[in-house]
Amino acid sequence: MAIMYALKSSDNEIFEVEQKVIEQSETIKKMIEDGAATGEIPLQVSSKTLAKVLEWCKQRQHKTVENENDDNKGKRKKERDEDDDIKEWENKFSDELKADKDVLFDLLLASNYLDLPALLSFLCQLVADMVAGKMPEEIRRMFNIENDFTPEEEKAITAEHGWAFQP
Amino acid sequence: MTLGTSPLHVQSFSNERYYVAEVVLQKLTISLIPSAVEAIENDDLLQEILSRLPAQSVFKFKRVAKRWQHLISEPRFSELWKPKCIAGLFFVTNWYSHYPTYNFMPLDNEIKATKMLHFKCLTANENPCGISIVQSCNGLLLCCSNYHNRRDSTCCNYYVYNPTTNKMRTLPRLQNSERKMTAETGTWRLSGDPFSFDNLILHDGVYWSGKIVWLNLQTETFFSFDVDKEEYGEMLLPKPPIEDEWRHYKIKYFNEWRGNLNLIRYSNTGKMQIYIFQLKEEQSEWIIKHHIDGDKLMRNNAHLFGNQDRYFLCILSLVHGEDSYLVLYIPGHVVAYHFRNKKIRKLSDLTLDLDDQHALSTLGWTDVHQYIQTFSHV
Repeated sequence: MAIMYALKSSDNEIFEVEQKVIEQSETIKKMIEDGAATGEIPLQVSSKTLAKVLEWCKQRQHKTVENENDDNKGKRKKERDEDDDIKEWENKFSDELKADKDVLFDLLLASNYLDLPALLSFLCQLVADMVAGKMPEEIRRMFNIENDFTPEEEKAITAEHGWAFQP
Repeated sequence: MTLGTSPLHVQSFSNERYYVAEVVLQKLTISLIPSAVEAIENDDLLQEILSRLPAQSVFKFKRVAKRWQHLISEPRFSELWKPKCIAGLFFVTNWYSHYPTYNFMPLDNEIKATKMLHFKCLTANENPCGISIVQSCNGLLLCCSNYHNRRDSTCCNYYVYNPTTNKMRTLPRLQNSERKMTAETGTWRLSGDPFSFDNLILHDGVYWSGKIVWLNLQTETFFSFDVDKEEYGEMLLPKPPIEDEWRHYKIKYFNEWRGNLNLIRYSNTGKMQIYIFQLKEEQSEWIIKHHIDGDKLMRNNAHLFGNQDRYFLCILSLVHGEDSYLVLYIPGHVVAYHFRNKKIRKLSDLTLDLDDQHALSTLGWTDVHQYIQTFSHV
């Protein structure tokens, strides 16, 4: 019988999760090791975001278990197929996030808080792809950033890296 | 020190368009995402995101705000940011003239779009004899002020140049023999005791797992310099494979990509054969990754080789990536040979004079340096 843990979201929803799934989070793993995780584990993550986090963790867990059960014969072909499956799953996952940016950034903050390096890396790449072609002005607006350069300083940066600003 | 601006840099950038864009944006009601603002306010998260951007965007985003500029300039950022591919090649033509020409060939679409011309300004800048590249390593170029004496440290100045950031630093003059300089906390200093390479024919050093590794082309043995311990000595790596029929095969290319050492052995006498080897992860042996048969290559690409009895090709570089390829020179063209589909793609036209072509046929192309993007400080 797998050991189960109860995670409590910031809006008081309870999620029953297998230890193996949730141990991917370094933060929770440490809580469990320290013995701090008895009963419900309260997390500063909303239920909507936590559900998404667990969706990711379960998919990753699924992958590791299957790999462990493999014998070497036919492994390569199977791995290739699995890679395709994972790609497909990740594409679907990222499409959903691209459509709902609130969830994307909530998830990014949660992955940082829960210390989930693989998810964090995946999300940072998504955000990077999202902003890559944009101009500084658009970025400021997008993230509510104040331009604290003087016009001269701005000009100097543009002159130094002129090629980067060419369309 | 920043180099003088090239014509490309001087070309002023018109902000007008973006002011217009800003006004339009102001009129639209933009709904800010609170979690996005919070995430971007976290320095670590912002650096993680920026480190996944193409170099062009990174430079552009230096202008967002001072905090962004600062985070991009930090050494931690240059460690986080990893190049996705080899972005181009520098190579020399006109060897015998007083002013050899450095050519830059972009291999990455982003570079093509930006027409990176930094190097032109490097060669034109302050040195009437031109600047030559002695070595390239992880995106930094070791340059020298005197092409024809570029291996003699006593009669010329050396520079470390980062073509991505267009920053250059002049190294202190050296007295004798070959030494290495390593960058530490913003200064370059001499590293370890000097040692000499008398009477050895070496391939350029390659930085691999904390060491600079040299390949002795005569004995085909390796020796290395441990950068942290500042110790050098023989390096026990398996010898590059050789078989009887390969007696005349020379090693042409020795380099590292993503932690793997690669080398190319080829024969130019009789039938052209090219073998590309990679060192196994456990360092037990070199395995053949690819093999190219010159005759076959020519037959399948007769339109490029023309109707010649004796074909000629020369290896410039190996380029790793999802679709790895070999950059070759064949008379009139520089081409990419893709291992996956065994097809040749023309990269550019290049006609060499007879002197150059003669030199190539005997020595191979000796002065080719990879351009890898990096934000490393110099």
